[in-house]
Amino acid sequence: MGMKIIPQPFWRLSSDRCCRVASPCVSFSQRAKRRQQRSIVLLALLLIHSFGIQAQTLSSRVTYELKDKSLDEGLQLLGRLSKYKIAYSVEQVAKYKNITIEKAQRSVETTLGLLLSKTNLTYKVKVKTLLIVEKGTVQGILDDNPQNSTARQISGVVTNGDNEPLPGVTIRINNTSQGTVTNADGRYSIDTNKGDVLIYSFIGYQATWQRISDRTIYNIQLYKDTKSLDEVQVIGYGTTTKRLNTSSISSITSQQISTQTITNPLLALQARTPGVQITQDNGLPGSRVRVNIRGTSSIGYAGSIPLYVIDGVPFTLSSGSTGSSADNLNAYGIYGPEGGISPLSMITPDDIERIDVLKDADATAIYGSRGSNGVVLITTRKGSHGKTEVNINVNHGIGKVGHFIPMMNTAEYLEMRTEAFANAGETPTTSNAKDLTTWDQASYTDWQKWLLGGSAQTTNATATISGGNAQNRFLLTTTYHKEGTVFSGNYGANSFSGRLNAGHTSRNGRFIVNSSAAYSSRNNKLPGMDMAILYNLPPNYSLYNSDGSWNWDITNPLSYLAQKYNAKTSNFMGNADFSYEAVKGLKLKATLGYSKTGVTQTKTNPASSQNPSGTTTSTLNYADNQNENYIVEPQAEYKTLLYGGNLLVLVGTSYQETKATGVSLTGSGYSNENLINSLTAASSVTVSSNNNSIYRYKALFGKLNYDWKQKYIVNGTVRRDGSSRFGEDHRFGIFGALGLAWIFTQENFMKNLHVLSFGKLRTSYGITGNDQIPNYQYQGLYSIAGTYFNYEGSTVLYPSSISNSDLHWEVLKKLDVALELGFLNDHILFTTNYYRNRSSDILGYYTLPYQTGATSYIRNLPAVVQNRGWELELRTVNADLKDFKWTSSLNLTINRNKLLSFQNLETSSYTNTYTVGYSIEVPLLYHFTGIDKATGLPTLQDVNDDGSLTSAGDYLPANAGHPFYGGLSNSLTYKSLQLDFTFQFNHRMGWVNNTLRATSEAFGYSYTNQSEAAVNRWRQADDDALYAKATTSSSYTTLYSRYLYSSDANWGDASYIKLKTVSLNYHLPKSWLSKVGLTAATVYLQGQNLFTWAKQNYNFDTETSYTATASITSSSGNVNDSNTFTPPLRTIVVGLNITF
Amino acid sequence: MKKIENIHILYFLVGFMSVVSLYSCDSYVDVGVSSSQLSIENTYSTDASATSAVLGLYSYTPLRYIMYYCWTSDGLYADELQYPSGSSSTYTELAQSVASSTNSNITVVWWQAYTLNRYANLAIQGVTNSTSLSDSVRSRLLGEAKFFRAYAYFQLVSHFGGVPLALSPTELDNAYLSRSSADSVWSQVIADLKDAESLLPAKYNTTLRTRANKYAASALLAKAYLYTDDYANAETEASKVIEATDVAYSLPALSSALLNTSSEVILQAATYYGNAYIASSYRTTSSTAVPTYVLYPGFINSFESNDERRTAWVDSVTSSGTTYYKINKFRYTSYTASVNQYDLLLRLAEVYLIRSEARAQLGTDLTGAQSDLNQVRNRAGLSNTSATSQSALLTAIAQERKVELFGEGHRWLDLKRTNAADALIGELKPTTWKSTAILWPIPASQIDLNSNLTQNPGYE
Repeated sequence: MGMKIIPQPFWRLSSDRCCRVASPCVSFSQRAKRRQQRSIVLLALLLIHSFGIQAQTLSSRVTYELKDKSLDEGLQLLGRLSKYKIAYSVEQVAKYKNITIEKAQRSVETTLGLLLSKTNLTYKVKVKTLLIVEKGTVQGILDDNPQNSTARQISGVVTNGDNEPLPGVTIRINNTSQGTVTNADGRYSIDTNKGDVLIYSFIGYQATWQRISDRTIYNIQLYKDTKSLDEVQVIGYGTTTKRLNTSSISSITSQQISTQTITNPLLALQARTPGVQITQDNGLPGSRVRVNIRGTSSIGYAGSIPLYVIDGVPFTLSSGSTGSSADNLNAYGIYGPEGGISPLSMITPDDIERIDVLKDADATAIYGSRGSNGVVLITTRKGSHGKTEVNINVNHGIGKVGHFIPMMNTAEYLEMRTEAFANAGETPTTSNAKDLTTWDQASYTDWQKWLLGGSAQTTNATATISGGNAQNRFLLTTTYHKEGTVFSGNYGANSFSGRLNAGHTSRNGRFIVNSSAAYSSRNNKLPGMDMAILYNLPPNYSLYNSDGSWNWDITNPLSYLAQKYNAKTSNFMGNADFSYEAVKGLKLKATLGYSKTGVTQTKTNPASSQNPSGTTTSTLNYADNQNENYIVEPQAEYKTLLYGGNLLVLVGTSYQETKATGVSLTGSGYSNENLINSLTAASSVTVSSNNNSIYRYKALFGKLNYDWKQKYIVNGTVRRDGSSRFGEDHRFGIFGALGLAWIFTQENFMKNLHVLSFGKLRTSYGITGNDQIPNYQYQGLYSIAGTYFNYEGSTVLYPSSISNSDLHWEVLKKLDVALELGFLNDHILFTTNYYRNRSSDILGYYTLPYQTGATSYIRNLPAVVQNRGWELELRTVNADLKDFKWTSSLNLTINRNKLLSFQNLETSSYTNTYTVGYSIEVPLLYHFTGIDKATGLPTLQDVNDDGSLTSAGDYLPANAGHPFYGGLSNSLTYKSLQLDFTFQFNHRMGWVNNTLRATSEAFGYSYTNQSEAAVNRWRQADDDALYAKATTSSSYTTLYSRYLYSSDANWGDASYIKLKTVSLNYHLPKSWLSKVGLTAATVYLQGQNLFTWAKQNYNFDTETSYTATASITSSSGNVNDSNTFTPPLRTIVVGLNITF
Repeated sequence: MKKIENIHILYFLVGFMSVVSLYSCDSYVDVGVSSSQLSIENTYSTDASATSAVLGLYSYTPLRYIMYYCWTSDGLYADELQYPSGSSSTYTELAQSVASSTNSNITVVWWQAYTLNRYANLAIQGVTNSTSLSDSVRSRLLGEAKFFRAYAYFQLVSHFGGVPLALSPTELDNAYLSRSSADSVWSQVIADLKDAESLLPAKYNTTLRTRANKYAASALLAKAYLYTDDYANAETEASKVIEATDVAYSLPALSSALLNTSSEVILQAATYYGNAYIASSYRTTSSTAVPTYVLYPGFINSFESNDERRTAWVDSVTSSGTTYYKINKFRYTSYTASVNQYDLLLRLAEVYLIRSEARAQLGTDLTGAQSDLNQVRNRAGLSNTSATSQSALLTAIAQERKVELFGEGHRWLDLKRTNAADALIGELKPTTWKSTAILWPIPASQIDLNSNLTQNPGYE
């Protein structure tokens, strides 16, 4: 070995000459050619070898003697003795002969000086190579006259703006690959030559240049980079900056989170992250928040849940139940009024430093299959090296329902009912029309006000203490949160959370440990049902009879209030990151994480809350579900400087296990209702379900990132994933991605284009897999049939799943191309991003012929779904004055979903759900052809003209429109005053009147009030009405259900704009604060969900109502598109944030 | 020195990856099964759990559905049952003997028969592959699985003609099979029953005869031979049951004949619901309501004047001036555990009638045929048969089967196998009957899913 590879830029200097490397002699050009043929990986490994660690200096001493030899021979000898490679042109040195140097021990530098003393040659140090060149040929910043310079070791301390030492700062000699890194105390030392220029760089800070003169001590201060381009960007298993990033990532920081009054950190992403759609199931505490990154590809079954990673530890709690609802904490528990419980609701937004959403294959491939639906990286706050600081943040506010559905009043309601009876030719009687006969004809109750008219009190208090010194840092934070409801009664959630984060760096800076432990718990008390679903009670219904007893003419809403639902949720998370720098540049790391999340729920149904005319029995539903998750990830990371570029190689492995256990019980037969919460008091307890599942996942991954002079960046990832959800032959899949970036503004030819301060073109392509299906699906299994089926006293087993050894990974192929531009010194940043994701081998249910003895199974569907679209992002600094600063951020996403192919779709069970060539999100509906003017009945098109309406023959895809969505945020600072506000907009098609779909029965058919829209119904012949007639006739049940529930009569523009967040902060003057010993204090006023301008009027909230994605269906709990859930509240809080 | 260090780092990275891949044994991601489920292998590893799995053949729904939908649909197809309400087109089609290929009751029979077949296939494989079962349990379970597989195909081939022979325990292997000939299905039924007969013990393990024994296999085998016109074998198999000495089969009084304690029972399924599922369709809890199915008005005239079955097994209800006759054989209409009637699969009276018919067909022992027939007649309070010739005897046997076995899923198949259906039903339902109705349609949904399936004539 011992061959040297000379970097290309240098090589061009003497490309036209015959050159020589001192030992051994190999033509450079041959080497160059050979090198080109090598694969990237091999090259990278060789480069590591060649340019690994630099400690050789020109001051090393050699014993050297030369007797009457040519310069050529002299250089060869020095090369052998010094371990330096010496490169030179044979032609150039040929004329220097007969050189004699006395035997002595001298430094390499001195020896070389003697050798070249009588020539017109000089030398230049290039890594471990000494280049012999003619004087005056090297130009540039570098001192081109090294013979006059003296090699010296310089040293110093690098600190931040607050004079705190900065460890880990990279120091590099410009135009070389020599460099070093500061230790834990911020100290460094490096061998330089006079005239060298040192570049000090550290992520998140502005790089600083320093020319070396005669001094030997250079203490440098680095300043935080306020420009967003150089902010730290967290990526999988590491960090980068927006500038150097090769992949598609959207981020928000604690600053943006702090302007919002939210309880689930995912909601902070709303309107701020292009390509990411966030929808909340309802506004009750703990409710589920769905995240959809770049459209959905899930047909039928496999989940589209992104991977949530908190401080490096995955937090996607796959309970092993159905794919799309797999991260509901209560997937096997009770669906209370809040529906599915979001695991992320257990993460306190106040604890979060930043959230990064990884979208393309390049960013997510390092997470392999787990990241196929995108990755949400949550980084919690850490202590800082500095003085101890205490921060207290307290706020209090109220939340109210922002919009009520305009419903008909008593007169309008009774008119509709009377008409319905008349149209059906029926007579209202005391048994079929109490509202028209026995109830008070004049009384009016605004049920929405009664149900949801209250004010939800919210209180949030966070106390944080943090601090540290050069080696240690800690942060201890605790939050109390109280969230009321708008229901009448003492309902709501109390949460508590605490987090301790501590970090230590050894004195020599080689060993680093970071760990945190967090615990949170929530006690959520709600009525037995979301009261909002009762919004359409008849307006003249009275809760009580004249004797004061409950009125049971219809289900009395008081009964729901009497049923108590309670969910106690707790979450423990612990993680530790160890890093040891074994050899300079080589770090051995291990990430360990453990989490345990549990929910214990009870729901009572006391006999006293039940209609006394039937049999009343008190029952208690009890469920306890726990998810335990651990992960172990040993990694090795090697970083080096190479040819003026930074190379990073990372290899690692992952072991992850998720264990879900749970039991669901029903107790009944209580001797006294007061004992209802005790299972022991129940005379009968039955087991409804007993879940037990284990999911395991392992992976081996490697990543290589090379950034050459912040100009060309390549990022490659390979990962081998294994999932316990597949059979032996298909457990492992190999996935990977390649990302490339070209910062073209770094090119010389762009340097004069001053308007354009930053320009980057990047692209990535990769393949990932998806395994989000229930556990154990690939094997034939027997299950216990249940006590009903016991035979001759013994339990009975039945085959519950079929053997499907062919089940394998769903494959996602993702392409991403983006152009990032910065204008006017990066005051304007514009990103446009095109993506195209294709999913194939989609995991879904497939109907089997009965002759198998089974009805369906989960298999890889022969379908391809494509999501492609554009993401545009514009960030501008509109004003940057001394007292006034104004920044804006606009993002826009256009996603187009399409089912590209589906083999045998016609014979599959999906034939009435999807159409090839159309979006899988667009429903198939009957086509409404108007109201028959004569009869007042709705008419629907018989598309296949067979005389009858069937979903199979007469469905047409609904009008998908041209949807897009996005957000606009502004931040204005005037002196001590800061105003932030965010608009969210969504242009889309959907159900125009959600109340119609909720009931899907003819107006006046039952004791159901209708929205004000119902006054536009057909009344008499020749009416040109918007809606069909009212009727109590049951002959039209199917027709009306098709008309209102599954026809396009109710389909149209469902766009909206929301003023999502307003935050006003006043920073108290420092001069006042110092008198009371405070460092900082801020008074603030925040509003959430303040105003909505929506096309849909007949719902509480436009966002929680519409099936934004196909995965939002009524299949899980309370969630559907009938939009009658408690909406996210319009909340206003005042708060105080002080630091001392 | 430095160079060595460089190489070390390279080696380290490469080594790290290899060590990690070597030691990270892939079996980490093999998690087996959930603790609330069993793999097939594990299911058949102990006598107890293997028995639990085979008991699923009796109790976990397919058997009950097959019995219910065959009994009621067959009754409607024949001249036995009527559907007075007329509100459901599914039942109306059956009552008119013109079921369409989308008829859901017929689809259920197909589906549930194949479900039972799947359970049996898995059990046969599981028991065969298991090395840890005791010999007696292994033999009994294998016999039971084969018995029920034969039962499933018996119903399939009797109603649909040739059907796919889905015998693989790997379900997906069976998904796209085409139809086998009726003959090969019958061969499979007979082969399975012969196996079952030799594998099953003679004695019942409980007093209530709720698990198949050797004689249950013989009885079903006799029936299969009768249906395939192999009268000699039918006689032999029937004789095995009738002449059994280790189990005492006899014909008790009508009042107790159909109880679960009856000595007539050869096999009954003791599900939680008893036979309330079928009983509640034949009669209602309320004495004034009309049940879903009632006997054909003319059926009541089939009874000879002093036939005690006319009063013991038939009841009537008058609604809106019309008298409906309802089957009163099964009386426990509510779903409670204390019923004393079970789902009755095989009973001795049928075996007597099988042997009687086989002997009459063979013509060599007409006295024996008369004697078997008289056993059934005498129990119903009737005198000995007056039929002496072969043809008169066969007519008498057919009549006896009608009045003895009504409501138990025999009549339609008897009319079919004796080629009497076309004339008889054609006369009874002249506007709707087509001779192709002799075979039920293959469910259209199944042909949609498996294009290898061909439709029966008349339904294309």
